[in-house]
Amino acid sequence: FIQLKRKFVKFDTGVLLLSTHRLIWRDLKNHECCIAIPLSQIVFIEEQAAGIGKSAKIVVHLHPAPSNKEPGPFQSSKYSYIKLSFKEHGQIEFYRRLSEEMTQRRWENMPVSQTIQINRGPQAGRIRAVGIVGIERKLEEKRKETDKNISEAFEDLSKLMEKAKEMVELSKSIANKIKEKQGDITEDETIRFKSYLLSMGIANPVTRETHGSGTHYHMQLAKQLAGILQAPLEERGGIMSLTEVYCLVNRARGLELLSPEDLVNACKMLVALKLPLRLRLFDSGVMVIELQSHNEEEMVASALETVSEKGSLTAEEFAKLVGMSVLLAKERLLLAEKMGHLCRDDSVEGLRFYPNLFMTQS
Amino acid sequence: MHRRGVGAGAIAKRKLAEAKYKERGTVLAEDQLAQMSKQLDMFKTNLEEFASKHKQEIRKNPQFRVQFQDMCATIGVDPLASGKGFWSEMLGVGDFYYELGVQIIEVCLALKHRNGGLITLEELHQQVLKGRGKFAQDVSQDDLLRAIKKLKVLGSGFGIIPVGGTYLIQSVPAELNMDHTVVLQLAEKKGYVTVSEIKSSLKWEMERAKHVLEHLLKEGMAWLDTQAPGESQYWLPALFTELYSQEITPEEAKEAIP
Repeated sequence: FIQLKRKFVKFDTGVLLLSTHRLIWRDLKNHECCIAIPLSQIVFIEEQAAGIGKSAKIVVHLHPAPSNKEPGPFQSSKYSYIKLSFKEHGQIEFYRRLSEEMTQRRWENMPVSQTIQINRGPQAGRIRAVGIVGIERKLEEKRKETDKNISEAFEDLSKLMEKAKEMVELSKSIANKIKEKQGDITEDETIRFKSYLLSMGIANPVTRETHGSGTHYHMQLAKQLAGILQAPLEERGGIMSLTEVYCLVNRARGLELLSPEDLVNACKMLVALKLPLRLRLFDSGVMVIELQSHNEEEMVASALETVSEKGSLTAEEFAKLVGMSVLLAKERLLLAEKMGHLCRDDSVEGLRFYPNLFMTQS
Repeated sequence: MHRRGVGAGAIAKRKLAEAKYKERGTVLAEDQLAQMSKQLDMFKTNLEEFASKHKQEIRKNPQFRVQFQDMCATIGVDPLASGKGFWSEMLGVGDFYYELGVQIIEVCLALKHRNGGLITLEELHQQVLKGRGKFAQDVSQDDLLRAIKKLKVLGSGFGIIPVGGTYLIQSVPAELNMDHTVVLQLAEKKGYVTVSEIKSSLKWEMERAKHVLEHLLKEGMAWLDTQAPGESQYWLPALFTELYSQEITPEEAKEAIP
């Protein structure tokens, strides 16, 4: 809003416009209200940064009003400046543009083609500057255009969804047929059907033993993953969480990313396809990819050694020592506990693991 | 002999009829699959047309995305199920959300040491936007929630907990049951909670309140302030950000992944 200092003559909730000749302010609530200042009236401008409870501002210092000044909201003021308050955003950009205009002073070279007319017609209190109308119209047109685009998009979307719905219905009826036939459908047909469902994003309505064996796409993906993940796994001690894999693979791809479900479905096929990796599910629900050559149970033995050396360790401490993620470190310690090699001390200070002396020293 | 002939013939006839029926059954499925294949091709064309006109809308307009997702859900379609799906391939919705998933994972990992794996949706939003840089597309909180829902399937404990009009996002496989959730909701108002507050608001006994708070402490999701005037206060670092916030650069976030 435009502040006339202390005498809060507020013009708030408006739009500030900058032309080569003028600074224009238009009230968003009262469309009839529009005020302007010629740029030639400005002496200089300064910024006031935003603070707590204060919005960013531009202070506009003005020349004394000329005697032939057009009628405006005020005949006079004891202050020689106005403040423009940017409640939402735009102060930085506006300041930059205004400074540019002040530097270029284009109003000196280009006489205004239309004089500003104050229309005090039969409708009382109606103040309108003709030059503004063009700007308003453009804004209105742009709004209408955007609206039209959106409504067209929504219309097209609805039509598209109708067609998608038909696909869903069709897939349901096929699924029912498959259920009825109980195994008289070939493996090939099942795979075909699954790939159609995959394309449409329709959940597989048929629960069969082969569920999760995925489609050709997942098989291919599994093979790709085996290739991509070999080296990273070796670097990380043979084991990675599925979330790590998701990030690694997608970051490498850049485009045509895998969905989380794609990854899980592909990994479920690793063992069946006799690839050198496998998917493993821990009790906590955490899923990891391991090299086939990796033996977590063997790693537990070395974990026990490490813990014994230090007396006791938390998952975080162990992770740091060994160079693993905390998530996997915790899983290893939990597994060690499950196997009876470690026991826990669960206190508010955290979960700490100790060698299980009950086992070894009884 | 006459009877046996009829008997044998009847059985044979029946078997033949069954075989023919099965054959027809197979043919029926074949037909339907063929029909689906054809309709799929048609749908693909429709989708391509839609994409050529409105792909931008999906990318730029969070509101449109919400509408799109809701409509898909209504008819029973998940456009984010697979990167190989038509929706993903042609509208590019997939890449948008899957990449967001990666960014969410990275932010959560980077801040886990501080908040125990609990973060408000607001803070997550802020951090993700920062990581994306100013030329990236606008991402809404709704977008984040949808991406997180998809991440759940990876098994690393992603969860969404409603608290006081917003959400806490969990990113560690810690068990949080109804009791924990309710205490989190209670703590959301001030950022901390005390045993007395739990007892009076929820009408629980001391034991139950302590049990829940201790679990949160153990998981690193709550910090204990024993020097508070009166009784000890249990603070949730996830709710701290109004008090102080920590800048992490995208590099730091990446480093957080071992």
